[in-house]
Amino acid sequence: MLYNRKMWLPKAAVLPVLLRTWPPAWNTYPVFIKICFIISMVALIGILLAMADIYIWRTAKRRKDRKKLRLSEDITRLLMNTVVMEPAKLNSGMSKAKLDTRPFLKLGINDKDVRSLFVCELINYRNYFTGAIAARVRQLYLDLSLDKEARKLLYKKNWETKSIVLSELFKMDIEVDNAYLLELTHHKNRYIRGFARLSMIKFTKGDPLAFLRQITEPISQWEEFEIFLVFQQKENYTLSSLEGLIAVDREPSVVSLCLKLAVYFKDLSAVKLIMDIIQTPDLKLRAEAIASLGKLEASDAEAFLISIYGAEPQEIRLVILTALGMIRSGNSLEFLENEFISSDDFETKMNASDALIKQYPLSQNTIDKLMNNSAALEHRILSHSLNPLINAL
Amino acid sequence: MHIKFKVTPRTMKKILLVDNDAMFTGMVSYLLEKEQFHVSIAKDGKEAASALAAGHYDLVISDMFMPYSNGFELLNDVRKNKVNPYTPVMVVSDVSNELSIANCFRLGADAYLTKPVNVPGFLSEIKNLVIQQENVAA
Amino acid sequence: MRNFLNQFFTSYQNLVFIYCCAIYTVYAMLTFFSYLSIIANRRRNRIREKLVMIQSPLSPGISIITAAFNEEMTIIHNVRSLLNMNYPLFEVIIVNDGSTDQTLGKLVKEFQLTEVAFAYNYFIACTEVQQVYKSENPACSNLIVINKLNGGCKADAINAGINVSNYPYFLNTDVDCILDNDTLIQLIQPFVDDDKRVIATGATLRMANDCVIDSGVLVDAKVPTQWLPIFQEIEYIRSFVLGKMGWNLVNAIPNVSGGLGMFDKEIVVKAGGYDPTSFGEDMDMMMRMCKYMLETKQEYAIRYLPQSLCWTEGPSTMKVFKRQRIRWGRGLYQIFSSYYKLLFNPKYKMLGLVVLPYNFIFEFCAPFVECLGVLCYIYLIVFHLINWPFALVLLLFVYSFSILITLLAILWDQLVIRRYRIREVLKLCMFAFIEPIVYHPMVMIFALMGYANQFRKAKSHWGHMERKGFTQPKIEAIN
Repeated sequence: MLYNRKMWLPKAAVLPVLLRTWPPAWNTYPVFIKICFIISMVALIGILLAMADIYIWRTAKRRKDRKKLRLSEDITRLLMNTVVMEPAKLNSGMSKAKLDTRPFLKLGINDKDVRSLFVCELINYRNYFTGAIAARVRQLYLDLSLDKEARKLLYKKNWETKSIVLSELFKMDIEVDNAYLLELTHHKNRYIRGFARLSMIKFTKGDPLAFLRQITEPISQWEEFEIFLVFQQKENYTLSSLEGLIAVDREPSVVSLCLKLAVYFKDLSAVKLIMDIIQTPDLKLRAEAIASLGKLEASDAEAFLISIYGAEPQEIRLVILTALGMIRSGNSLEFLENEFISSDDFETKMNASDALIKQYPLSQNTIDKLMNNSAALEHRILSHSLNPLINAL
Repeated sequence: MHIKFKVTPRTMKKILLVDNDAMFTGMVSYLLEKEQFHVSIAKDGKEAASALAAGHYDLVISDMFMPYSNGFELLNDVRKNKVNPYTPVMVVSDVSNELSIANCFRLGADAYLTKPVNVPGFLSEIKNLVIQQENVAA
Repeated sequence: MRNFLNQFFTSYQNLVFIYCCAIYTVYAMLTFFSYLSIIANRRRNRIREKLVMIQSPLSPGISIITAAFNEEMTIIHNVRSLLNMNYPLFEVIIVNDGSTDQTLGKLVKEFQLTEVAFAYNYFIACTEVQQVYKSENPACSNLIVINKLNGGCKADAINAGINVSNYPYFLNTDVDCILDNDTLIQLIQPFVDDDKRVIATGATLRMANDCVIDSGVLVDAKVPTQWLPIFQEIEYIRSFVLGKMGWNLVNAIPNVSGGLGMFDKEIVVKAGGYDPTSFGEDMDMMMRMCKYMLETKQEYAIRYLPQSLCWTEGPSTMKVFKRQRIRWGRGLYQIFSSYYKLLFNPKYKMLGLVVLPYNFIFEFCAPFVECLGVLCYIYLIVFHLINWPFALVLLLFVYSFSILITLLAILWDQLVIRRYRIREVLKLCMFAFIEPIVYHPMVMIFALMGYANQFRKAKSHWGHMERKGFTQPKIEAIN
């Protein structure tokens, strides 16, 4: 293509020749040259547009950011004056007094961006404080009819809008039509499904665990965090029975969440249920169940864990040793001592050693005996476990 | 010539509020000032260290996360302060992790509150700590 | 002979043209994909509140593992900034890799470290660990310092760190990198919020050469003033924002940078840990992790974030830059000599059919194709065989398209980060015009030198990055 003896010309004569021969010569150019030329022209235009776009977009964004900052300051000032009252008034019935919404309407909250910023700040306030201030923020949200607008947006097709609005209503403690919410819990978009589930759990009139029983698909770890926070932040909540939730035939991610709830709420009645699921083929769930027994300090499960130890794979054995240490009853000292001495595996020795140390002072004699009689590696492992600096985490 | 001075009455208790969230510090300082406290704000670890070196405080309220430092370091700085290592410290944070909370108390925190905080409880805890400090000083 | 050469070079020019069109088609596709990926990332950030990770007591623990070799100038500030990450549960593991300066001494003094009788187990092989230190100060209870014999490379040091880590995920970074305080929160998110099992995440790296850094904290981001780091900044923007974000959409990321990457520790250990003999240990690790997941028939994903979370000092002298690029060239050569069996192998799905072929054809082979192309050009010019109008059109095509891709990368970057002033961004755009002429040939030549060195298995070492330090902020009177 570049090689064509007939077309060769001295360099200096290129431009005049090009001008003399174009456009009539255009039709004689090979196709690929035409394509390259057109793409080059498009690219050159693209370069100019890109540079102009960078400049224009950044300049516009800078102006928008400044406007947003000023607006944010106005919103903060208004909220401080309206919502945050003197502490004495907050505790009294005056906290339920009607809010003056006129200054907020002047902000222009009908504009999408202004509304978004305003709601963001309201949610921040609710993240900082509970009680009267949070209630007043919610009241302001309702008085400005922001919930009505949100409910309308909830029926939009755009999944992002739906998710954001669901999240907004959830954080402002505003209930959504239950039937529609239930429909959304089966939505194909996982963000919508997740927020719908969260809302169902938060706003269920009865026991929030009831809705968990209906979940049959996996829940992501992120959802687990959010659902856990809902339970954690419920005031004066007592966890009801986890029967039927901690079960072998349940979705593993739901069981995993329930195990965490059982540990957090120290639900000792769940110990029997956890022991029943330990033979699940899912090794990860099995390990989690055993770890939960340890965190619950379920001394009833100790003998059972020791009995299954021998038949379990290595990764489960390590978890059993840790759990025995956390149970701290002093009944497993002999077993742990035997494992520490007889095992050839470093991790087994380490976990057994940690488990013994956790049961101090019940294990003091055992530890002293091992320190005096053990070989170099075992001695080092015990010193490692005994060192408070190493196990400070 | 008339010169104006801003005078902090001797009886006003001084609180150092350490948090880089201007909205939160604005709200808290408003509430505390209504309760007759004098509030100084430090928005990062460096400002907090300067403030602690420069003056005496009846209480330090700190977040866990801030530029140049963290809640643990701040607790350490307060407890190592030669002038007054017994200044009560309250940590107010989003973190609800048990290990972090335990570490705060190990470093000498007097109280740990997780956000969102309940305002009456928050204020009464502050008053308790300040009164305790008064009694210790006495 | 002459006829043969003429025919050969003619045919070769045709091949170069097809190669060029193919690579530009891929770049155009990546440009589009990266835009979609960035928009998806923005949507996710609007929907997911990071506060949940801070509030939740279930947030997984993360180990930050970093190697230090003769870093006495900046080690204290950098370690302090690592300890100040906004995350509820993490530990910082510093591996002092046989430093000959005061790196360890300074750490011991500053953080009140004391040697502990640590029962160290070599789960992953590494050179001998001599001491392990923990802090007597409870405020630094999550700091571990390992002192070991120099292993000759970062991979060995990271393996030593993995052996003591307590948490299921670890962040691999360089101790001289300045990390954003929200790095852990940002990088852990894909691991806990994805349909597939995520095995690694990464984010954009930038040049910190002329940024204002105060006590390990980035105060003011600035485009570098020296020409070599500016070109590297442009290259990083194109590589991360366009390349990696584009591949992110189709889950075909070839590599998570060693400067900043978070990994699933279980998979790293099962894949055998980092290879200390590799010059491209980061890409080698990714290959092994992906291979492991495919061979055990597990679905996986590698995710990238467009946010700039890591600022690193890039080579500002030709000597250090050349050493770095030769090492990268050697690494790439090693990768393909080790993993050639995966190339075009359908058993390895996306890895074998897309990731490796793309990198082989358009990354590894590119220097050869370009170099030979230039030689052809010279031959055609010398023997007056060139069709100048056509040649100019083709040059214009190649040049204009390259500039366009680079400018679009800079434009997409502005969607994500706006820390640079407008005039600095326009300066980057200006340098994009001379990059293909000045910088790109150097990169190609050094890559070829790297391949040649690896082919000859020449002895080489990582060398030492000459630290110029960062610009300090002006001290202002405190009111």
